[in-house]
Amino acid sequence: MSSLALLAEIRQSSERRPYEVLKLAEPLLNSSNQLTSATDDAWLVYEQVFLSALDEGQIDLAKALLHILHSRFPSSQRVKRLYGLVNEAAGHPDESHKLYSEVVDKDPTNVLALKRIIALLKAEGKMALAANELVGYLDTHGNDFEAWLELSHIYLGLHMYRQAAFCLEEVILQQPANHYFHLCYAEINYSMGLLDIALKEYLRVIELSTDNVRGFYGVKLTADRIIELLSSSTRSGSGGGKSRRDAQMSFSLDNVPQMPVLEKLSQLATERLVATYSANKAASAPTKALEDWLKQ
Amino acid sequence: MAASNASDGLKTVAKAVAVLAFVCMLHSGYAAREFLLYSKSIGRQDLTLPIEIVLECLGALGVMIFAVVLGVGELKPVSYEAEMKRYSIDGVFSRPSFQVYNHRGRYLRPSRSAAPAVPAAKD
Repeated sequence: MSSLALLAEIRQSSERRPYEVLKLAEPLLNSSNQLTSATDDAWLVYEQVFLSALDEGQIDLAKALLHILHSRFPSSQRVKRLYGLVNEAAGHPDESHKLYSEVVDKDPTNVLALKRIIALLKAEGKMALAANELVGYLDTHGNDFEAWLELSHIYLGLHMYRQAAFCLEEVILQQPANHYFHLCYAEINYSMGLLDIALKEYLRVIELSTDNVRGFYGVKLTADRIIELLSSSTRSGSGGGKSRRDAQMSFSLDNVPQMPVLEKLSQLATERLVATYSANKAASAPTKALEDWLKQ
Repeated sequence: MAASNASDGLKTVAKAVAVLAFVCMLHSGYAAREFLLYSKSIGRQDLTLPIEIVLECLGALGVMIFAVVLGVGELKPVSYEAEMKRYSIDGVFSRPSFQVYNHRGRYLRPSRSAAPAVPAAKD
């Protein structure tokens, strides 16, 4: 596969792999005729390499690339934003802020600049302020799932699980078939102790993606925990003990499936996990330990 | 290599068959029109099409459907799960417009900070 194709693949996956990008791009940049032959793609590659250079702290390379982009697109807002990024990476966030504010003053609908202003707050570590700004931003741009996701992660960083879960609900509304979001939502609910919702969402994950290991672990842990709670609540039948236990739990045991169903779910998860791991021939000590844990 | 050659050959044949079937369909349409004009001119009362024309039209349609599907090339799986396989969890959660750049990246590989030969600006 040519390095251009690899670069395009990394670009489309939107993963952050600056070192690989720079390595792939270095020969392309040194013989510039190769990049021009790629016509339209060349400018995207320049932007991609520029961002990777910032990530790797190679400010000089980034500036050179920015010069090329600027001479091609002198009046582009997208390139203007890249100037702000250089300043951010070089440690001049105030100048970046001035530039973004100018762009927003001229065109209040410039989403990219608005997001950078919020990202600047994040870079300074003012997470609560960034969350505030993001809430304001989402009032006008409610269909921006990337911003909802960002807000959810900021809330997670602040240990505000309930708010984070709400943001992920918005994301799921927009992309209901993406199992990664269901997984994240399930894990947040598990952290909050809302095991009934967590179980449902973990089941949704394994429904949407075949043999999802993380999903099956979730099903197993959640189902086993609910079984434990159910059996202890039936054992301590006397009223006083029960109400104390209910106060500890953040969800109602009425919303969970019946005991046999839960046991079957736990069994199924164990079975699929063992099958998935034994399909992978490179069995090792960790795999062995895992199987022992699953079978107990 | 041989397999791809064989499937290429199949594709070419299928495309040719599709074109042929389309011509047959046009022909059946033309024949139907001629039949109706002729029937009117001789004043026939029963205007139902003869069975050959109907058969030619339906048969050509059936053949064309199969030939087009065979000739169109590799079909992609329709399930959303197959589509989701292309995305990794890192990509889905990366949020490119909120990335910050004042991180430790510049200290990870300081030896490379000497930038590679800077490409000259074209034009």
